[in-house]
Amino acid sequence: MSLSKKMQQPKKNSKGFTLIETLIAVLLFSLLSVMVSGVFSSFLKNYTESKKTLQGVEGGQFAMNLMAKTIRVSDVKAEGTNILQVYDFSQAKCLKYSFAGKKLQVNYSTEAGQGSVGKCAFTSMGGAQDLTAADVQNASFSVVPSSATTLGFVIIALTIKDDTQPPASLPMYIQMAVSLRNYQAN
Amino acid sequence: MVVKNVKLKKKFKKENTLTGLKRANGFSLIEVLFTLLVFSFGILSVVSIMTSSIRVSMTAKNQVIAAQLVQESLELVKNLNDNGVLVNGSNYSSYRIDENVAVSPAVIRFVSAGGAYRLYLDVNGFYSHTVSAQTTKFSRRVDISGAVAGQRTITSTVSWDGSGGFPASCTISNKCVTATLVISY
Repeated sequence: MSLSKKMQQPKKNSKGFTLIETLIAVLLFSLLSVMVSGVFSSFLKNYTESKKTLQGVEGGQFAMNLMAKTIRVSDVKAEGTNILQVYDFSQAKCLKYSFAGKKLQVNYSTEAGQGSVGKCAFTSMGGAQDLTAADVQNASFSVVPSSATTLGFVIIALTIKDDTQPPASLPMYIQMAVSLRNYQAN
Repeated sequence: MVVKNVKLKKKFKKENTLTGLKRANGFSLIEVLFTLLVFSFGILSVVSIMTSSIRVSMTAKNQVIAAQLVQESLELVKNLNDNGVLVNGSNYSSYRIDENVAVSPAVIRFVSAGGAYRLYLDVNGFYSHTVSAQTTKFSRRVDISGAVAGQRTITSTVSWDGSGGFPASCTISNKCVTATLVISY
């Protein structure tokens, strides 16, 4: 055995990994990274979901506040659970808040000279306007109209959930009350 | 045979060069355990950040609902005041308040019929104290105090810790939202 061979041999045996070692290392690493990325992606999914829901809720709150401003100074009447008829004194208009196509909408009557919601015919409508995006699953109105001696109130309940969300995710229920400011109109 | 001899020699040399102890290739158990420890600390910290962030977003959701429920109850109490019954104390039952208690300078509460504060969801999506199939984790209590003459102090508290009860006070760390309204008359 020559000297040069003696020097070479230990190098050959001890440096670097074998193929099997490398493969096992890669396998372990990939298993770990799959686990971590699974956790990470589910976290991201959760995050985007809750962000979407909160966006929907913000839209719903905005719409409810807008409605509250009008309803407070109006004469109100319920039409079923999902439709609210309103006579807005400030605009002298008959309005109809309704829930259709997963949106909260407002429509106004083009007729003139009503004075109270009981006189609104709602025969010719001006055209519906959306108050929210299409992420409202349900909108309900609970109405206690004013009498000649007591002031009534309206409670609006919205069920909010984006359709792109998985069916298992729970909707958000928000609710708001509006105390009326006027006694029943004659 | 020559090659084998050389190998043996080398092995012998290697065992004796450094400390005289046998030096095996690869990691020792302690090294592996230590690596695992460090690695698990890393993973744990990442996972705990994620879970806490999910918890925070859940809290934010519940806080939005709770704040809305607090606002709703205060608006209903305002309606009571608009109708004069908050001061004079008459039958509340027609004002969607759950218990009929005459107002006096003592603290009174609006509670549901069973004495519980829990809110339920009815079929139309309304929160109310009327017991129904869909239980929520929210409980609401409205305290009205007439302790100061010429004033009613209304405190509405919504809690969602699921117990149906309320913490002693609402802090940043508990699941609770409260608001106070003072009505002068």
